[in-house]
Amino acid sequence: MQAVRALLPELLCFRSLGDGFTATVLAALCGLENLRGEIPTVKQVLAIQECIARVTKQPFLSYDAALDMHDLLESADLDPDLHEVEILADVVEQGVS
Amino acid sequence: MSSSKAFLDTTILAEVLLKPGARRATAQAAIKRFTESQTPGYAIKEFKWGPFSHYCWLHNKFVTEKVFSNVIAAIHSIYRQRGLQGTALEALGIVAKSIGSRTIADLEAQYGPMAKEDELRADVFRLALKAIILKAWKRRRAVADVVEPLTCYAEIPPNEARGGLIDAHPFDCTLEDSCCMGPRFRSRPNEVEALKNAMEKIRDAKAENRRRYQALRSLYRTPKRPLTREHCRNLGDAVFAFFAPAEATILTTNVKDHEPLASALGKRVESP
Repeated sequence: MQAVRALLPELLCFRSLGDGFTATVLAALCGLENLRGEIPTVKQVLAIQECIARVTKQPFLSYDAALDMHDLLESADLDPDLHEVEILADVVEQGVS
Repeated sequence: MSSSKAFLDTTILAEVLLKPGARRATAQAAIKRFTESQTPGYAIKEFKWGPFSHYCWLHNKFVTEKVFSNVIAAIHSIYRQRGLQGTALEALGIVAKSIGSRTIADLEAQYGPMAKEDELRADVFRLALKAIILKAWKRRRAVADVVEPLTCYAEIPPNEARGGLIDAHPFDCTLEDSCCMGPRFRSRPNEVEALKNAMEKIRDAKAENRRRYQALRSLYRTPKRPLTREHCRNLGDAVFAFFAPAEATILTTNVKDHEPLASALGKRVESP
């Protein structure tokens, strides 16, 4: 799992394959990072594995399919969202409100 | 657990649907303290024109700027234009240390432009925002039972326009000329008067309060006049105090604004 975590950012360099591909890789990466050092459960490992298998078999997957991968990760109690988004959005909200 | 009901305001919808991490978990835990949770149709409308539209704006900024540092510069420019002092801006420094950045820097030599940190980070944020926006819209009715539907308001989904921009329009009601909440408010004039009186005491505290007071006064003093779109928007927190069932607790992150209105009608307010 450590190797997967180290290699996932590299897959982001292939984002010209499409938003579906990149969103799935990003969701898997965030899912792992948001564990914040906790050891993933078997269900979580399988969900990550499914994401990687999906982009390997179907790199040109649609964005809707990527959102299905989000659902899969969430069903395994992984958080596929990038937390830094919240900070940025809060700054924007304070600026415009 | 004894029977209890939460009446969620727009801030709670935003916490659950748009805020990843601890704030979402806190809001969800607060909802779970109650056996039942409801939110009015108005919350979905207010959610769309408020926090949801801010997320769309931010997403679109990443689409058009394509470079992370340009988006940060655009946000700084908003603050400058509005003369705001930004302790919040300091938070942007945290964002600058985004996901996997050290590794990505190392990859630049191997993969060239696709690993360029500033552009990669912009793409990562764009896609993260897009996922949050689309999931939030899809799940907007799953947070709580939606009551008091707005018959004048169509929940039109965000549309991915040409070039990848997300267009969240329209924000206002499109189905009827006047707001469907008008007759419901006017059927309980004593409660409208109590809300108006509560706002009168604090109307000078901020512009939002003044606008809310004017909308309530218009409802009370001119009962035959239709409720305009502007007044519908300005009613804001008063809608939650008015429509919350008597036995319910209004759940909000903005207790300060809700408290005077809710207590005028003998209702409770709690924060997560």
